Parts: sequence; structure tokens; C-alpha cells
Amino acid sequence: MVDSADSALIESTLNGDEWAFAELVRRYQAAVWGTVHRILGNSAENEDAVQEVFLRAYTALRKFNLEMPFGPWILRITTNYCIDQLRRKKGRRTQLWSELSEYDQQRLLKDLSQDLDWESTGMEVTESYARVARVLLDGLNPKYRAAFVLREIEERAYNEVAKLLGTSEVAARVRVSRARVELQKKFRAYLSGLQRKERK
Amino acid sequence: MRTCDLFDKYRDGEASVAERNEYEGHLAACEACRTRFSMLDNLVHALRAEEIRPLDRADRIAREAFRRAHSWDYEVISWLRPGPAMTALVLALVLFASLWMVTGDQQVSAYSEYETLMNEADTLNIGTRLQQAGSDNEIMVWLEEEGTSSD
Repeated sequence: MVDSADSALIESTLNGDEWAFAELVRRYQAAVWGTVHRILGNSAENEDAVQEVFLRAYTALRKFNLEMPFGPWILRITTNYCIDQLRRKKGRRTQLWSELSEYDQQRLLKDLSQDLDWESTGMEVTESYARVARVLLDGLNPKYRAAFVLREIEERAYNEVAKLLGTSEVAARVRVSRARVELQKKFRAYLSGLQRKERK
Repeated sequence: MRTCDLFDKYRDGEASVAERNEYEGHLAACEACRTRFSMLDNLVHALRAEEIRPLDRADRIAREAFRRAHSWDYEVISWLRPGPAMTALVLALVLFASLWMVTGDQQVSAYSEYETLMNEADTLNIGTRLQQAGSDNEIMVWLEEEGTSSD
């Protein structure tokens, strides 16, 4: 649905009103920040990423169709930017397997392979699980990773995932499915490595 | 189709009732599928639970956007950025067109020059007239005639 307030802010921005653009950013910065964080991971560079996304949006604002909602448009720019960053900076890994503590490596990986009682799991342990999850996500192809985050973490419908990725629904489904398979493979590889270590 | 292959359909909540029953029965027996399911559930849960603290940078971003918009280098970059491939294509087309015009012109001019000479020879019918001319005097008369008619 088109938000008339968004349209008015965009028109004012195009007429040179800086305040209007700041207001537009204020409306969507949390959503952009969330997607950046989920796809790129928690990093000090996320602030720059959010700024860059809005600067790109500003540059392309004249091409924006005012009859379309602004939210999906800015999130599409965000997703593209994140995939671009992941491709360019293969080194931008938020967490490395070797950086995890012995405890994380041994206990958490085993825990994650069985049903967990999340209600009794404390925040600190949950954060440790998230670190393992980040290690696994970091090894994924950027396109699969973005598709996985949009579908599984942000719980978006496949047609929405497809729009944000600028691809067909079938391609979006394939990417999510491959991401799941890849994650399982990596998880198994770490787990069997751990088991080999234990046997020695 | 193997029951394991129903994984995505089941996970996405798109399996029919029959498929769901079949897969749930399978999950109880297949450890690989069970582990896969638990692992994904746990990863997703842990990532969703991550706390995200967005900072309010709206004013700074807007200031930066307007500052950059007034710098000439940004104008150039913003023109190039939306479609580097498109820009490259346009440049390639321009280059190709200029090359074609240079080489094409030469071909056209060489050919047209030849055509003109042939046409002139046909018009003047020089070969035939020279053979028909009995003496130098006749040739001179004919050339004078041609000279006055072309004037």
C-alpha cells in the first residue's frame, strides 16, 4: 500500500527539503538496520552500510515510482547492497570458527543438533548459539545467505523474498533450499570434526 | 520422491495433509532429517533472538546526502552507478559507431568514386567515340562539343 506521507516526503526531498529526507530515513532506518544486521552480521561497519543504503536511495529517488510503496523499494536496495558487500569483502566475516571458545565448539554444536528448551535458555547462551549460527551463515554464498535470512529469519513470504532479491519466486525457493542444505553440510562437517577430535 | 525430499515443503508449511503425516512419521525414524530440522530451528531461533539496536542517524544521513548531491564528482558517479554495464554498453556502441563511420566512409567513397568514373565513361562513351573518330581533328571537334555541352 502506498503511504501518502512517504510520497509527500519524497516529493519534498526532490524539491530540496533536507528535513523531509531525514524524516524519510527516520521512518525506515530501523527496518534497514535490521536487514543489514541479519544479512551482514553484527559489525561496526553496519552504521556505514545503513548510511550507504540511504545515500543510494537518495541518488535514485528521482526514478522512484510514487505509486509504489517505499518500504519494499528501500529494502530491495538494502538487500542488493548487502549481497554486494558480501561478494566484495569475502573477508567480512563476523565470526570465525577458530575464534569460538572450546566451550562453544564442543557444547553448543552438540546442543544445536537436538531439540532445545529455549524458555530455560539464558540470554548469554542464546548469544553463543547465535555466534555458531553466524559462523555457519558466513560460509554461505551471498545470494543463498540473503534468501535464507529473508525467508527464515525475517519470515517473509517467497513472493516477497523474490521481489527483494529481484528474482523469480522459483529462484528464491531454490536459493533458500540450497542455503538449508549448505548449512546442514557445514554443521555436519564441524560436528564430525569435533567428534574426531574427541576420539583422539 | 523420497520422503526426505519433502523437507522444504514441510518446513515451509506447504505440504498437504497426507504429505505432512507421511513426513512426520518419517521424522520419527530418520535421524538425519530430525537433526537437520532441529539444527535449523535452533539457528533460526538464536538469530531471531539477537538484539538489534538501530542508531538514529537520520539527520546525519540527510545532511550527507544533500552535501554529496552538490558536489560535481558525485553527480558523475551517480550517473554511472545505476548501470555500469549500461554505461559500458553505450560507450562500446559509440566506439563501434565511430569506427564504422571512419572505415565505412572510406569504403563508400572508394566505391562511389569508381561508380562516378564508370558513369562518366558511359555518358561520354569515350571508348566507342575514340574508335569511331577517323583523325585527331575529329577528336578535337568532339572534345570541343563535349566541352560546350557540359558548360
